[in-house]
Amino acid sequence: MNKSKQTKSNPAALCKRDFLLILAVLAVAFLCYLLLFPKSSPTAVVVTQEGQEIARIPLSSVTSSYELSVEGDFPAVILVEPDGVRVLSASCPDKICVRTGKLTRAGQTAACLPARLTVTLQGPGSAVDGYTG
Amino acid sequence: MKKSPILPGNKDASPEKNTTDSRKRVQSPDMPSGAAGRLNIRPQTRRLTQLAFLGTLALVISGLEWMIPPLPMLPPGAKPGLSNIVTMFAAGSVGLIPALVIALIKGLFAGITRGFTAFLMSALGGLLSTLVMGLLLRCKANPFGLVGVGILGAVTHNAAQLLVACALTTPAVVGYAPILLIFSLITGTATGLILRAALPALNRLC
Repeated sequence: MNKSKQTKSNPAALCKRDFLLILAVLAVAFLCYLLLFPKSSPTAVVVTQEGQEIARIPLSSVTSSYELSVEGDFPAVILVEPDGVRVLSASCPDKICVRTGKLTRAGQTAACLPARLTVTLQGPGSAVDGYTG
Repeated sequence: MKKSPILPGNKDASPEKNTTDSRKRVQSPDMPSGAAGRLNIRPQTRRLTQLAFLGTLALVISGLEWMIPPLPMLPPGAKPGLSNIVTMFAAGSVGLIPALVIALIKGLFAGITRGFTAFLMSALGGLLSTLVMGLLLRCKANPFGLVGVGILGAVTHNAAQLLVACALTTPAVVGYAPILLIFSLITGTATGLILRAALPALNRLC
């Protein structure tokens, strides 16, 4: 066992297959992107908490920006605007959902894991349209 | 004992390390080679020290990552995950079980500092990616270099975390998949390259 430790050859940092792997991952990422983000304008804002849909707001009904408060262990404030939505403030420790910024395209999601809260923009034929949570 | 490590052995271990250790023992035939072996440290002590050292290294790296301010072009919440360097080294050079223990330590630390969801995300991502990297590094027919293994580890890490996020919230979070995949390519490549550069030093210390 000691001998094998000494004689093992150094692993290469990079080999040809690594480049193939990089290309494959890029291709998968591009496919995912095409599937998940249809080229359509968003139609509705969907807010879920702990897997349950708590609000669904058609963007056509939004004429001026307004704030939406979400109660729970980590209360949050969501700003609904005619052309998108953003998490304005959250009481969770990491504020990832706030840093996500404004969502403007169908398929985009801002998620807060501690609060188990998501804000999603849905398109007309969104791939994540009929989820149940 | 573990299978023979795949990463290069520690031929040039420095003997001046640990001169204060007074507990000299008769070298047993199954004593591991390398610095600790030559210093006649008991294998259990060696393993414990190794685990403590690598675990601390992983925690320090993740701790430092949290101090980096979030950059606007990065996906929110994504971290470079450079402590994967440590679990990857452990999985390849020390053993699969110690590497998994280090991943678990990382998860527990995330849990203590950032709550239960952080524990789930970190532990599951860390354990699965360590498993994938360890199995690849220990497989004789491993087709990838360190960069490839690092990328697969990063992809596994992110995929596991995305699944946890899906389970905790709604499947809508899979929208993060493309950017996480691209990000995995960058961090995985960095992990592989940094590990290659740090390998001689890590081998001297372990």
